[in-house]
Amino acid sequence: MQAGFKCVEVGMVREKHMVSVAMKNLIDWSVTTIVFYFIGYGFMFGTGPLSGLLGLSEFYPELSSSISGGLNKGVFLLFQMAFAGTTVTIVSGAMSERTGFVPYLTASIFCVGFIYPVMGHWAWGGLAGEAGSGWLADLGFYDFAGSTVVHSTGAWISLAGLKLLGPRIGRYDEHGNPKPLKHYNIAYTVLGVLLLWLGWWGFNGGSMLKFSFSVIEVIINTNIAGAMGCLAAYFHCKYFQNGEDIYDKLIGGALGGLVGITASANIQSPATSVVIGIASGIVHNYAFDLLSKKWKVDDAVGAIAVHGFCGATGTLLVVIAPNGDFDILRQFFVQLVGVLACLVWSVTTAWIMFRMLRKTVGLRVSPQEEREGISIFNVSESPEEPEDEEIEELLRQMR
Amino acid sequence: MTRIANVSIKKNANDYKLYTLSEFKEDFTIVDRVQLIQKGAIEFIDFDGNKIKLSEAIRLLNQA
Repeated sequence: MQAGFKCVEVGMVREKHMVSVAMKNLIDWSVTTIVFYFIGYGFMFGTGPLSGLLGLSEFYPELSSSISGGLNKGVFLLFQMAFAGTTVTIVSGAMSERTGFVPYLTASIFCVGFIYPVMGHWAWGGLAGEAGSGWLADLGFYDFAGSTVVHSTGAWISLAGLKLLGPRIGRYDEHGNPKPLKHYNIAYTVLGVLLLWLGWWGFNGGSMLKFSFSVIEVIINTNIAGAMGCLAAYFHCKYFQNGEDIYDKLIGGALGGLVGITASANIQSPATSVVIGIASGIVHNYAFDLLSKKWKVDDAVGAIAVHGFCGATGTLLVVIAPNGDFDILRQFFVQLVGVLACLVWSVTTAWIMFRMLRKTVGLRVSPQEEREGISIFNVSESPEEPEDEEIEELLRQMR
Repeated sequence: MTRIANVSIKKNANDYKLYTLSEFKEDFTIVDRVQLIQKGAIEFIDFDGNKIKLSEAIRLLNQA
């Protein structure tokens, strides 16, 4: 999955930023490996007095033991680590081309060490069988492989960060309309999508936590939703949105379909997977335009439309599952509670985190660095020193 | 014709904030602007993302 994200993001940004984006992807995985093992896993799957809200044990877990169901804890940890890495990588893509390396690195540590594990505890805390389940799981919230827990969490963290960060230089014209910034290489992005698609087989199939025929069904449903998301986004964009940003929408639609089905790939049928794929593709297109044109949120890789909006769509559409054993209206309400809880938690904590980063290590690089490409050493120069005549000119204005 | 799209303000040693021209005019008085220029903490940017020379930016601000 990390390789796929790296290719998608590097292909989407401008050429001068590809190295910094690639490096951030590498750093994401390195941070995830260390921080999730030593800290995040405990908050997510531990027990303690705050169990249900937050785990407080299982930091640096003993790997030779087993979780409930007999699965080795080390295997479970590795699998969950990949989910955590996905959440953080979503943030790096969305905020690329203007976020400093040090603040990003710091944000990654906090995301994978706290924001994501807490959300994960609410929905999945009981998976390891160490303690009772989280409060969302107790309500009956269903998110099979993380449409909300993994994908939306990353997207909403990005949303908070982007509101604070502002758009890239040159992104909007004088009327406030978004100007297309040249992608480095769309073909490279498509390779990334296909790598991610393959990774999704492992994510969704692996979420069964066992190998049986049902894994194949999960993978087939996943494929169908991804394919329908891609086709729906393409035709919707072509015939209803004048083909604007059609490459971004085709790519985002495919990923959106994969994100959408992730919440319920194990209980949907191929037919309902088609519905989820189509819905995700269309929702993606509207969300893409809403974010860039109306809200002026400059998401460099379209991550929020894909992971946030399609994640929410898929989570709500769990209720159409033919194999689901629940009351549809009640379940829809519970799913809505889960979607909103994720939104509020992720945006609030990320907002606080990014505000603190801005006050301490800074958040945005200098315009010069943004123009030339972000350096991982964070070397930036101040704007030019004024000349005396310029200050005199200003003083004349004041009189 | 050059026009100001954004104004980048250096907030502290490591952080910059990007304003649109209208936000900049709303948020910064003429006194603030002088102080920012004196500190070398301001940069004006055109719609192509290029830096505008300070003297040119002041002239444009005057005209606006």
